Amino acid sequence: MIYEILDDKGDVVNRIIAEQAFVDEKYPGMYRDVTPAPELAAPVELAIDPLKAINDKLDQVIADISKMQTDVSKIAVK
Amino acid sequence: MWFPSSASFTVTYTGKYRLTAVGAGGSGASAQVLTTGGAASGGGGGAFCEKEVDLVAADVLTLVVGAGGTAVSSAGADGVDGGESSIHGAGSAAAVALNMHAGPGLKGLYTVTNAQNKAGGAGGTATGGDLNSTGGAGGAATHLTNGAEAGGGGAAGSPYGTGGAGGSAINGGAAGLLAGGGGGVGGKGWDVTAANEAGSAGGSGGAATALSTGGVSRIPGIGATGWASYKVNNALVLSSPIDPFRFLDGIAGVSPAIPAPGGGNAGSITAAGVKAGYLGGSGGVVFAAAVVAGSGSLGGGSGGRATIADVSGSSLSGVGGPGVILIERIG
Repeated sequence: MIYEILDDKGDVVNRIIAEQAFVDEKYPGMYRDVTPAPELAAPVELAIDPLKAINDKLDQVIADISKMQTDVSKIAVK
Repeated sequence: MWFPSSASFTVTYTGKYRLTAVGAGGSGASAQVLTTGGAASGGGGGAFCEKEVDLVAADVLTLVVGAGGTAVSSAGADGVDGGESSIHGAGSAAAVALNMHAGPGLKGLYTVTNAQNKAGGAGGTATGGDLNSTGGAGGAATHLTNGAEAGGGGAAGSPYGTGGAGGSAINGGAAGLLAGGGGGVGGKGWDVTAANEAGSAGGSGGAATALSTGGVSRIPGIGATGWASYKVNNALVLSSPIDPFRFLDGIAGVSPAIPAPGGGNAGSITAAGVKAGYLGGSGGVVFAAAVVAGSGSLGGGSGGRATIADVSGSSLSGVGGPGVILIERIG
C-alpha cells in the first residue's frame, strides 16, 4: 500500500510504502491511502444479439418440421 | 535482508551491520495533447545513503521506505515526487544515533507553450550515512509547437557517487519528436538536440557516448554481447547477493528481459518504454500511440511522456522507482 504522510496542517511530508498497521502505529491519524486503484479493462462492446441463437434454432426446427411434413405427404401420395 | 516496505526490525544478533537506504524516484511528466504537442521533463533519481554500524541484539530499527512517484496521464500533468527512505533506531547508543535519510527524486514538469523549457526533477539528497550520494536530475525538455519532447529519468545515487542525469530533449532546429535517454549510475543519458532522435542511456560504468551508443558496464571488458549473454544464461536480477549495490554491472538497457543493474534505458520515438535496471533511470517516450513510458527501478526516476496525438487517458508516463532498504550483517 502507498500512503502519504501528513503534517499538522495536512500537508504531505512523505510518500511511503507500508502496511496499514505500520502507519497506524507510527503516524496515527496523520496519513492517507493513495494506493492507485487497479486498472480495469475497458468495457468492450460486442455485436451480440442474445435472441439470435434462439431464433436460429427455431428457424432450424421449423425447417425440419416442414421437411418432415413434405416427406410424409410424399409417402401418402405413393 | 531487503525491505521493500516500511517495517520495524529487531536486531537478532550483536554484530556489525551495513545499512543502506535508497530514496524513491520521481515520475516524469505527461504532455499528450492534440497535434500541437508538448514537452515533458523526466523525474529525478532518489538518493543513496549507507552506514556501517555496530548493533546489539534487541535494538529496534524503524525503516521507512519511500514510494515512487505515480505515473500520470493527461493532456498536461506534472509528475509526482518520490518518497524519502529513512532509518532510525532505539536501544543501544549506536542505534539511537542512527539518523539516515535518503531523499526522493522530484517530479518532472510539462509545458505546451512554444519555446518554453521545463527542468527535470531534482535528484534526492542524503544525510546521516558514511556515504551520501545524490540522485541524478531528470532530463529537461523544451517545447516547439507541433513537436513532442520528453526528457529521460535520472538514476539513483550509488556507492560510486551521484547518479547520472537523464538526457534532455531540447531541439535546435525544426519541431519533431525528441526523447532523451535515461541516466545510469555511471553517467548521463544522451541529450537529443534534433527532430526524430531517441537518445541512448547511461550505463553502470559510464555515460552515453553517442546518440546510439549507451554507457558501458562497470565491469571492465564486458561488452554488450557478453553481458547480455551472461545475464540471459544466468537469469540473474541482482548480480551479487553480497554487497549488491557495489556489484553494478549493467550496460545501458538492452531489453526488459535482461536486467541491467545500474543501467538506464534509452529514450524511444517508435515504441513503448521499458523498465530500467535497478537504480537506473528510464528514457523519455514520444511515440504517438497509446503506450506507457518506461518506469524507473529501485530509486530511478522515470522519463517524461509526450505526443503529438491525442492519446491521453490510455497512455502513461512511467512510475518512479520505489525506494528500498537493505540490512546486511557483515561481522
